[in-house]
Amino acid sequence: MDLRKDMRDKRQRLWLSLARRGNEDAFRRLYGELFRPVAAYVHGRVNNPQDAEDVTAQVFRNFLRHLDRYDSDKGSVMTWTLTMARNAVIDQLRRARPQAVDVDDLAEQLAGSHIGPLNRLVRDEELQAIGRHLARQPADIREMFALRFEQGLRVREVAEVMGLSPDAAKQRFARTIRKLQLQLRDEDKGIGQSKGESPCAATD
Amino acid sequence: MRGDRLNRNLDRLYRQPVGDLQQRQALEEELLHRYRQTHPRHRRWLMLLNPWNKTARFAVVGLALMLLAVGACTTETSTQIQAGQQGHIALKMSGSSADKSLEFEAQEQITDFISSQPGVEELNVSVREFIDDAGTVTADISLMIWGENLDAEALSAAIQAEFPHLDAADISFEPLSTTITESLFDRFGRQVFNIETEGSSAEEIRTQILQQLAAEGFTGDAQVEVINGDGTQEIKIMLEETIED
Repeated sequence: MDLRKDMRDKRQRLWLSLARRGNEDAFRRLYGELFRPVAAYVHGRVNNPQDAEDVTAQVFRNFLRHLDRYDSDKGSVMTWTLTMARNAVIDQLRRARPQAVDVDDLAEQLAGSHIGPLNRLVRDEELQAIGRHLARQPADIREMFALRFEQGLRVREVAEVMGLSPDAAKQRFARTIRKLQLQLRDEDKGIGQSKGESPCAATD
Repeated sequence: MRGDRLNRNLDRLYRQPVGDLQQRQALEEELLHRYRQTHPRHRRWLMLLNPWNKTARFAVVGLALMLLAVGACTTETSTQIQAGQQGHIALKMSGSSADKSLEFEAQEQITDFISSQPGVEELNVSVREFIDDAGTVTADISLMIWGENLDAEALSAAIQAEFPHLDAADISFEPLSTTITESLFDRFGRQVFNIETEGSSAEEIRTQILQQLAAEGFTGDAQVEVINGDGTQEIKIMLEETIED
């Protein structure tokens, strides 16, 4: 149980409920908390900064238009908003690449581009190694990790955003973590490459 | 690598500052404009329910206090109070009229004595006579002694001490209770201050209040100001007492 996240969810749920009834202050506060994660998510997946801004704006316009449709039984406000952000990113990528009609074709973009550029800046060897191994993971796993660590979502929330079953998401996440630990340990011992392994191959 | 360390490293790896997001302010203004259109002002009074809004917090607390005060002034409450003692003195009388007149004098002395006792505010007396088959006359003196906190035992003992010939008389007391209906505000005032005033001049009222405060055990400084208005009378009491640990 993550008390901080629980508090955040309750707070955002209350603000949304007040915003629906016309409380402008609650709406402003909700926007203030949601802007950063949504913008970070969108900017990490839409390369053109102008397009990313347009998509971010569209997410919040949809958020306002559908304010009355939020159902607290189906997840947190954060999850609901990031799901809208994900859908908006998919729409944007489809517009940019009309030939890519399947979500799977867009998986690379949805996985986010943070790891690559960031990893080059990281001097910590351990972090570099983690980044390297993650970069070799399938796109959906990378998206899962991005939502988990970049957006700070719980695994079940990651599943909600990606439209997966919570159990499946939990299994895949745990399996990847285990594999990552083994590969890092082997790398520490300097035997990973000597055995001819292919570190962080497809996890599923 | 341990799981928690890996998690920390993943956090560090992914958490990065989002670049200069100047869009935020502009988008906020646009959204608020849209919000005001879709959520008209008449729905916004509910912002008072927002516990994060400082103004709303003060407004709600103020409103609650106001309602509480109005409620206290208008809500009626019933309280059982001890108003005095009801007493009976059964006094056997002899038959001759001379004796009777003497005994009636004795009855008057008794009632005068009771009236003079501390705490007795008012006394109602009724006397009934009963004659038994042997011709013995018994006077039943019924007393309604008004006054708060009257001690029945002390009263009975004082009567018997003052009138030794009543040793044989049957004296009994039972509390006189009454139910009063008053507002919560009045009840609070009565219980806290327990002050009553009567008198016309401001100086009389001021003296009475100071005396009653002293009788209640108040030892601090008291300032009483009586303002007579047009058909109204305003009494301001300022009490100051130093409480030592």
